[in-house]
Amino acid sequence: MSILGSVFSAAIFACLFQNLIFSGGYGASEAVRMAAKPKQLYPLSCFIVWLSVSVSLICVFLERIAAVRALNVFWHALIFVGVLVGMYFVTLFFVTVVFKAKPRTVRRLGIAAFNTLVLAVPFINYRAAFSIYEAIGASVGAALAFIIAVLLLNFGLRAIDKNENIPAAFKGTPAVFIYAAILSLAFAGLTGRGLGV
Amino acid sequence: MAEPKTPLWESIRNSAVVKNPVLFEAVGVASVVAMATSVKSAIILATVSALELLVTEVFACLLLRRLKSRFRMPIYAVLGVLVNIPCFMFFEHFTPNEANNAGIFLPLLAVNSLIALHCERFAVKHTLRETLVDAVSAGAGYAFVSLVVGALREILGSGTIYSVSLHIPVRLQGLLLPFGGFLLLGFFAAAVNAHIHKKYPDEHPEASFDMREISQSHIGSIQSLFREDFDPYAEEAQTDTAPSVQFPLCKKEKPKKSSAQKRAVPKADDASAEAESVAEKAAPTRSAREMRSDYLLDFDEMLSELEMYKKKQAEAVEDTPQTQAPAAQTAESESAAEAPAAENASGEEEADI
Repeated sequence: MSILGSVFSAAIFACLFQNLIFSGGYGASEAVRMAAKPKQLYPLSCFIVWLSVSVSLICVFLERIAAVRALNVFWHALIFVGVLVGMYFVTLFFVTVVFKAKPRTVRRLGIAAFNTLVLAVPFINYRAAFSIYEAIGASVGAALAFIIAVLLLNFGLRAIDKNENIPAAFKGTPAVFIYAAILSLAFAGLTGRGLGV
Repeated sequence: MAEPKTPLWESIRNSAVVKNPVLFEAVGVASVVAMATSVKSAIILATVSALELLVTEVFACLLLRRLKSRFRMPIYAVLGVLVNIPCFMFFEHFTPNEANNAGIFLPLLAVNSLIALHCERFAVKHTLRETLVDAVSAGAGYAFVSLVVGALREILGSGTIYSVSLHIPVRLQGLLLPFGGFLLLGFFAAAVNAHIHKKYPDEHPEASFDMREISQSHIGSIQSLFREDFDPYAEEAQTDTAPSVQFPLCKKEKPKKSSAQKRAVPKADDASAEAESVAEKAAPTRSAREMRSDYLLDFDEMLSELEMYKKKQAEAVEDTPQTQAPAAQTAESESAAEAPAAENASGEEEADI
């Protein structure tokens, strides 16, 4: 029961109370761009879940080694990127050999793997000294946060696209950024921090 | 005296302003939104990003051309970390507080989407000189946005500039949150967009962010991920051969693609030809929209003039003696007859459009 509690609390923390995209800013550009092309959201999210869970688990195990734990943050970065690259190649092997995906589609795996959201999860685990179960919860929560962010942004973008009254200067990314700002403000309310106004 | 427009100047303008990575392509937003909360942190962000972009693009241009894209992506990440480490050591030595405040965002710059996008879209397809120009101008554009956003957030959120107090009585600390970053980016992008529209009417910065597929369902099968083409960064469409094609179209104007077209893998020549044909199709629709708005404005003016004329006629009828009344009545009846005629004429114009 405590294991489930750890997983869920970490997942809810990463997904809602500290939404990694809107409250943390991680993977914001990927979410905004994905919101404009939502067709592959869920399949790509599967990749993100898989990569973030596997990478964060491996990194949590590596953190148990005293020599690794004592390293500087940038050596950690090198290790985390190394693990991410390793997992990327493992996934690439399965995708190309088992599923026989098209080369152009395989290239998109890189977008799911090498973004700030996936790499941020091991860093958060490292900073917060999460246990294995909390690390699993945080990585699943990060992927859920990504899905929520993309869906919310996509619904907003559809409304923005239909709205003919938007001034010419605000069409395109300006309107999207302001809409993202409103969503970010909403999620800032969940963090419990005041705005200091 | 105006500067002569050379291709070099145009390419710099395209990479730095018209297709600004943050403002109009929504690339590398995460770092600006989360990290650029002060001038010092913005300087760190700008320096590291620009340096990383330059080194990675040059490396990709010189050595990674023959590698497949799937193998290039991890190399960008590793290279990014390797560039990051000395930068971090440098800033940690000279500005330890700011380097620590940057938190995990500084190492995360290694996987900044700005680098992957520019390397994949530009560096591996162009010469070293063009790559250098693109890297420097895109890096400068990114750095400029970071610095402006960082300075504004520091002034409005902390009441300081470069850690020097400005004695501002009201501080909007909320702007230091990602919310403030998004908001300032939005208004900054709008200001730059308006400036570009005014100075370069033929440029369409909004085209850099393709919104034509937002109406598609987000429910896709895993099979479709493996079988269908997917281009979230619009790398195929946004080559330099089609710079001003992808402005957002109205719903009625959206070209419908058949499933065969979607599955077809266009070659480089086909892609440019397709982009040209889209441009040719899009140009008349854009001019039609402009003409329509012009006609509507003219029609409104005509209606308001007619109203004024009617009022004047009514006042003249009240003021003039009875003997002139029939003449006024005839004039009024003529104006009344003209009104539906004008309405019919404008209606016909609208129908023609």
